[in-house]
Amino acid sequence: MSKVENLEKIIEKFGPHPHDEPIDGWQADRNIDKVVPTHCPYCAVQCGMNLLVEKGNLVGFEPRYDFPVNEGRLCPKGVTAYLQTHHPDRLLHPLIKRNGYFERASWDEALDLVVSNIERIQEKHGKDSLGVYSGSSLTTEKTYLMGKFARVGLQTKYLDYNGRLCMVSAAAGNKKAFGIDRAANPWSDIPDAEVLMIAGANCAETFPVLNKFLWQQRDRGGKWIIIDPRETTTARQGDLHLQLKPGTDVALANGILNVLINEGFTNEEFIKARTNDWELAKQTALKYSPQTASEITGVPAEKIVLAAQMYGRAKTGMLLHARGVEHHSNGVNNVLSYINIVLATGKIGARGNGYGTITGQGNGQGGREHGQKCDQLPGARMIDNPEDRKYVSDVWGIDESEMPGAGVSAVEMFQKMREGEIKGLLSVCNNVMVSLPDINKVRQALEGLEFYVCIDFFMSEGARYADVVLPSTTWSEDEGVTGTGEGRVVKINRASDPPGEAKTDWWIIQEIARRMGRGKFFAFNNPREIFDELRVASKGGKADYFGISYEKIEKQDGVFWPCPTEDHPGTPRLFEEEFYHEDGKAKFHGIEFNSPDETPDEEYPLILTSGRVVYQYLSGNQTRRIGFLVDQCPEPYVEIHPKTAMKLKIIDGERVKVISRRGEGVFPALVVKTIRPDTLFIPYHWGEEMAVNQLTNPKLDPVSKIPEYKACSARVEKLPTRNLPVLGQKQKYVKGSELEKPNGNRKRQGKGK
Amino acid sequence: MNYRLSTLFGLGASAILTVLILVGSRNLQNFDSALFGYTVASVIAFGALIFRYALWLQRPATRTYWKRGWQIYLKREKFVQNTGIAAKTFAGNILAQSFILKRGFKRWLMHFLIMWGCIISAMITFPLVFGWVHFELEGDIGYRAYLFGFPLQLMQGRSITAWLTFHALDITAIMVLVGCGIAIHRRLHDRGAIALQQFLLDFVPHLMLIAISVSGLMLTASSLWFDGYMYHFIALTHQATVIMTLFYLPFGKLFHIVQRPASLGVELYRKRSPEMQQAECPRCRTEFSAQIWVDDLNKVIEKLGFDYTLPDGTKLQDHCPQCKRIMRGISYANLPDVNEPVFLGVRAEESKEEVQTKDNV
Amino acid sequence: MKETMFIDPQRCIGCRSCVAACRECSTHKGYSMIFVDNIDRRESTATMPTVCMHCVEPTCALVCPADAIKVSEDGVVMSALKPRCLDCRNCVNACPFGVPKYNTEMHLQMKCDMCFDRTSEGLKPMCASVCPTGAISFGSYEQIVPLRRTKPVNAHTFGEQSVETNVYLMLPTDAENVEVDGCGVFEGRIAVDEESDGQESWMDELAGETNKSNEF
Repeated sequence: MSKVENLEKIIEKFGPHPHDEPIDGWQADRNIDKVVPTHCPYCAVQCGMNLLVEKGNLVGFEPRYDFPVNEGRLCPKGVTAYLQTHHPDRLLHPLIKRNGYFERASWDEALDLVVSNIERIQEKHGKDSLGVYSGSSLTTEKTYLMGKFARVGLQTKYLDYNGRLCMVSAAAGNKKAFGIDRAANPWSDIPDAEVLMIAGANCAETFPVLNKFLWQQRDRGGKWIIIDPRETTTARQGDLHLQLKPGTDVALANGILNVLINEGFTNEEFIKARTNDWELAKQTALKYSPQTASEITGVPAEKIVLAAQMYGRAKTGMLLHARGVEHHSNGVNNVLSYINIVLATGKIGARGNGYGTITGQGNGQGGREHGQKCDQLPGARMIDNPEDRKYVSDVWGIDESEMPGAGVSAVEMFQKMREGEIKGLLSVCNNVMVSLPDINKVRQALEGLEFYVCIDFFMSEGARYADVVLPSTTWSEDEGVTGTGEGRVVKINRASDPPGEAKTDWWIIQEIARRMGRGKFFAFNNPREIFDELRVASKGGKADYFGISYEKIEKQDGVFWPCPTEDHPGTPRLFEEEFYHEDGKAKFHGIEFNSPDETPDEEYPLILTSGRVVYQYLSGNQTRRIGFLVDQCPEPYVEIHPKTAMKLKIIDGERVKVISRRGEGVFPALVVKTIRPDTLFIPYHWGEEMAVNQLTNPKLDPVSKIPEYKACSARVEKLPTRNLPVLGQKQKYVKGSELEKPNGNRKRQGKGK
Repeated sequence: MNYRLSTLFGLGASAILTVLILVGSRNLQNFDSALFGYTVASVIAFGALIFRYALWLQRPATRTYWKRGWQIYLKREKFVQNTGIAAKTFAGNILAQSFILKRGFKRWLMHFLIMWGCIISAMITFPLVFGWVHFELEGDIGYRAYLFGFPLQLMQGRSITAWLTFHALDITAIMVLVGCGIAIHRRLHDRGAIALQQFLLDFVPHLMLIAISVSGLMLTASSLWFDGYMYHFIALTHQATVIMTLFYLPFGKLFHIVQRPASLGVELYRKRSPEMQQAECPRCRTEFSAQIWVDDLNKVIEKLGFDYTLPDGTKLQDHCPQCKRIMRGISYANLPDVNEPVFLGVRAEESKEEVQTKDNV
Repeated sequence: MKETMFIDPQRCIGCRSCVAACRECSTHKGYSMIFVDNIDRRESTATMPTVCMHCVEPTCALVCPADAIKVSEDGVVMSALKPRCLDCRNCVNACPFGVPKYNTEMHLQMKCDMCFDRTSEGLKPMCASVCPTGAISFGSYEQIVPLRRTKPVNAHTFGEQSVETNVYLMLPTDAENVEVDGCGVFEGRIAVDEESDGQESWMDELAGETNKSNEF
């Protein structure tokens, strides 16, 4: 029922079309009516920016110099973010798919169709036959509402969110080691660290503005140790680069810990006073001499020793990691093995001494705290904890027995769709056909659904499979709070009105609930009311928001949670006194190295890893429509080392076929020395036949259920024909008038080369 | 700069104009002595303009272009074709100003109104002032115009042609006023313009044109509706504003009026350059300009006292702009750092080793 | 305390945020006047940001046949005066840094004018405001230099010619001067790929807004 039949027509109508100018063209003589301070819609740095509004239209931005995190700085995505709001591809009306075409419908018609289908499916197959798949680019209010909607509105246990594809390994690891899931230090601590160890994080491309702190640290004479299979921009700028084989982090971390122990860099006092289970970690680490670690990781032993000495000798140091460490079938172990290093040297819980996971999505932190994770309730409470269930049920006004149990993680949910256990899906704020691993299987799952409703503001690759698409709002058309990667809660403000008939996500969700007869639980009139309930629901939980208010956020330039009372200033730095386990101590873990699920063999001799480029954001649904960003990076490519390329007789720029056990794709080769000869890299922001996720391994981490994006086996083949589109050929820019949507006079056409 | 030569040119120009006035007005027979002030100012301003033009042509770059433009134009086998190109360019760029249209419609409209307003006015007033054209009343029927003393067709007193002829200056004045209005509005609202503009350079010319137009219109109003009330005072004001503008011509923004036609030469140069040998960037092997153009530029640069010769004998300007940037980047990247080449990151040592092994082999 | 730009290519992460933001400046709204070039993507991710260096004796202004390029009192080399510019491209080809851009249709040259519209209101130029790493910074010598471990230099040598600029380039600590000799290849270009040695990576040419000859 949910097949995509007229893909070309859908693309023609809904894009992605590159478009690159404000609503009425580039004009220098504007009369700005309103300057709205807000934050960038993209990554977890949540840079402050001011939006310029003229006659109700968003017409530009101005650096927000007074916001302490970025002080006006922005990456190219942030600079062009405002261009998405009046983009001609915006969905303006509810759409119902009839005979393979999306047709305009009224809200009543579309919502009634959604509700009747939900009710039909749930009546026939039970409440749990409906899945809800949410996202972390929503404001925290909306993520809270999504959790409540699934459990109280739809009464299904199957709810999860796309943070599952992002940083859950870090969350799980943090919880195991520290008892809480939040970055330990504010980013302003970075400049005070003598040495930084950055693992699996290409900050230069994925968190550009974070580099402000990194370079401040550098300017004070600090050193960087970079752990990455590619010589990324960050690695190039660093002082020591450990270019490890993808998926061998545990061996490397154990090797470093080994040197730290043997050279006496451990902080015995700290270990004794504030941690448990040191012996476990110590005994395991002693098995990994630098030589052993070197053999597994491919990093020269002397570099491992040097890294340990640099980190060990430094008086202060911070360890940061991101997706490169977490996207593995042993992601949690990777994280724990790095935490062991931090705890063993006692470099945590003080100015310049710390640890942090760099969350990916804009609201990656806030979005995982308030109950849209399959096993969690608001305030980072656990759904299988009777006390927590009771508390939240009381806040929501339901009986505890009505509260569904824990569901399953995102990838498992799509597995259940294929198996027929989940028959209907409501998704908001995600793009499954780009971001999930092994998308050929995901396609099967979507095509097998009885009913699929998608809420989005652009027609994403995933939304094309939907039966009903409901138009929602961009970040600039609604207000709410987000939690940045450092645990700071900031507020997004509304700058313009939604175009056409588009509605805010919270209105849509509440309207569905109302039509299902659950309206009494969903009677919020604005985000502030949702936030007020959220504060109460999170009160006493780990992620305690009770003391946070919109006014306080504005006054303090954001509030760090936990913030339990109204006069509490928030908690920028964690673990200064104690950790969040019951005894107040942190925990070591003895972690043995396990290779990734797939290791190279004769048939698939290379390791394929995936990641991001600076010009695109996550599934690219927003950024692949902005002309400037498309110009800079029009399509995915595969990075190959010249040695490998020469062996395969591949020339730079040639299109090659990359094949894994799950699928294949054709990508232009980028022959560069910045990658390991045994590794391939493809950025993941594209869908359909351009998706690296046709190839990636859906194998999950047993604890965090994160898929193994960062290491699978693959091979590269030369193509017999070269009769393929010219590399980097620019797409034609769309004119607003061509789509019969309101737009300006002066158009600039893309200049084909 | 050779000021003497330029001065001679200026004086010569004034002299020629004086002779032309004498001849064209049949020895001042048709000359209106009330316009004597205008005439003197015109003669002086014309000389100054030519002086300035001659100075301008002495800039090395200008002279090269000037010479090259004529050279290309006068090539025998292409002469007809070149004339065609020049005519087309003249129509498109000078008469219609399509390139300003590309910068924006409002700007184009503004410039079009001011330019044609001024040109038409000048075409009417200068011949009148110089006595090249004059009108004589022929009974009750109407007027007869004389050009250089030769009679032209008789105009009916109440015909549309007559009305247009006598009110032409009012119409052009309104055109100029509207154009200046748009321009000043833009200058007050466009943030880019506000940042860059200077009162003397950008506002004064507009104010002068407005003063001329308004005082001119007041003359009409005074004679039509107010029985010549304050006519002489207004006429004097008008004369003063016109003379000030004439003297301003060679120095300020308005100099572009005589300078702009040089774009004909540039355009011709450009149109012809694809047929010529192309300059290839020695680094990336891309053709980026005509060879003759680059050679001319190198000569100009040399004349100006620069020497951009690189160690390999090429000139820096032989390279395309992107390669110039990248070459600088490479030089920067290869700077010795305390630890390692700046940009190479950790592979610095490895590659040094490999280079050594290669040398050994 | 004169404010100017300080360019530190070492810090550049190649995000081209400056290129996107440059289009927001009012004097050239919609067009970017800044460049970020890959130096040699095959070898490294290194990038080179280029803004106008605002030469003390600007070659571009001197080779202009129309005398259209003026220098402000603060030493800022301005875009060509619109009424005068003949679009001859002399400045584009003459500039030793490869900075000015031209547009044939509009008969216009434009270049970086250090965000005159913003600096005149006391704001930092757009590129220096958004640059995540401080590869492009704007401020006075006294403000910027003490914070850095790099050495500010405002002299370049291009073969035989030395050029003094109003914009500073930050050099790694023990270097004296940037000598552009044009013969350099990226240090460490080694034998692994003899077949394609000297060739540029396709990514080097993928420079969004402009083509090789600086047309916008």
